[in-house]
Amino acid sequence: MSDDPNTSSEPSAQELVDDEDLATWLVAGAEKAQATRRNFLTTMAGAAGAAAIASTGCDTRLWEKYTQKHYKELNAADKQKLIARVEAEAADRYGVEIKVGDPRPLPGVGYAYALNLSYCIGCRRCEYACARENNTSRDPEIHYIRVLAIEKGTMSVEESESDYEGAVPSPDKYYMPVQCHQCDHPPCVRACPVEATWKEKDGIVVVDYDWCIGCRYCEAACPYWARRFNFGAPTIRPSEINPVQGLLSNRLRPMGVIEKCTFCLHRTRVGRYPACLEVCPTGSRKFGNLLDPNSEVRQIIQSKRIFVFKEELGTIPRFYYYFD
Amino acid sequence: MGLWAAIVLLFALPVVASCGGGGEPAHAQGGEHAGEPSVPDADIVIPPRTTQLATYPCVEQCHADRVANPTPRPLREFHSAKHIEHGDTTFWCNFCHNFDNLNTLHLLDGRTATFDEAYRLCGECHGDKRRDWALGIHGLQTGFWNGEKTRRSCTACHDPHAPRRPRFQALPAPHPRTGVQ
Ligand code: SF4
Repeated sequence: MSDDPNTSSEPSAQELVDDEDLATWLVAGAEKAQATRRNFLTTMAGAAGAAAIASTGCDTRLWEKYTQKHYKELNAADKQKLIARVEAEAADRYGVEIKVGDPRPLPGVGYAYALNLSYCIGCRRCEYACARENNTSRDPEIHYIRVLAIEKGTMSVEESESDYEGAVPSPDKYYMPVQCHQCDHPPCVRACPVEATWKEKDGIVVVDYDWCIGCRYCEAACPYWARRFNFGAPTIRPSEINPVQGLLSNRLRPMGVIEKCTFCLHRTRVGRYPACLEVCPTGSRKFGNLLDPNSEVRQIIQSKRIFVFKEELGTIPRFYYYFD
Repeated sequence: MGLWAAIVLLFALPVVASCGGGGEPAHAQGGEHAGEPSVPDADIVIPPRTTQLATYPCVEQCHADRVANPTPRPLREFHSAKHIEHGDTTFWCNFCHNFDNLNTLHLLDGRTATFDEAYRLCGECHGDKRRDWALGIHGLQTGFWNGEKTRRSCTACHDPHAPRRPRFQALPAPHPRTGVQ
């Protein structure tokens, strides 16, 4: 039973969440973030203008940050500058060296996800693997995936619970993980007053973390509760930071912006499977190119009775569920 | 008469169409396992099982001079930890293990399969799972959705002697913040 997650060398749940080290980091991280903001405000209040702000490396970055253009308006040079700034910020704040890339949609590829509800046992391995992969805040805790435990014989999401504990699967429950459905008619995108979120050619809905004003309209608009807001400065232990980052996906976020599942675009746009899929001990999760008739998702669509969640809303999700 | 022909056609057509559709991808057929569902593509790696079995090769390690006994009975001396919870009470070792060469398994028609090819044996009863597995939609697959993948054979996840998987401990429920605190 080599693949049994109970015996693998991955960190246990306790190691992931209860750590004295982390507590120290939470405090240090929050203080540092506050200091940076104060520093910026003082500099602005000094009214010394752009010249003064540009006088030190750190202040230059702040100036750049507050005059940052929308992602879609960046040219190659701007993008390089942005990447350099993001990398420098990570070094500053966390003391880690990260590599930020910006993989673009692959031609002829449209992603879709399929999840077998007969197999999912609600173990939450996917939730934690996602957090590790996507550098989501550990405190306040942000998980893109929410696993609902639903009474067998019903389809009642309203009566489901997501805070179950203990041994799974419970004999009278089935489990339905919910994450961003990358809808083809995304209500979240239409709700955004500043166009900080949009749908890319391969179907993935992304957020420009520099453009988001944190109004949370999109979070309210999403019928799948898939968007997460950084109420606090995200904290994450430097040793746990995934250094392979994407500009529109798992790069380290600031406080006050929205974030969401991006089908791990920094992985999937270079051909790899999403992190949640690879960790699933039951193989419930399947991912692939909807436009390729031999892909796994297409085989599932052809041979299983699939359904989408809240179909009546007309969101056209790219996330299919099925029982088999 | 014409009406009946039309009705019959109406029902027959979708059936014919759906027969051609599902099943195995065309590029993965034939080869040494002709007549069985497809063997995996070239870019699919199946991690070997034999290297992980402590007592393999069975013949060289024990069974060169120890004849396997095909009579069902409680095992006290050897394999006493083995616990068969598979196929009710009808299974005994020789249902799957090849008693003529214990380093291999045998299929129903007398051909043999290695321990690394357990999917050929399991698929003889669990044809639906075998077909899904060949399409990449049953079991865990990791690697590249558009390239080389690692596909687990049946026995990587299921203990063939007791294939129902044990319950897991769920990881703790997260404690998200839902407002400014
Ligand atoms: S890891 Fe797999 S089995 Fe566990 S909750 Fe997620 S989808 Fe379900």
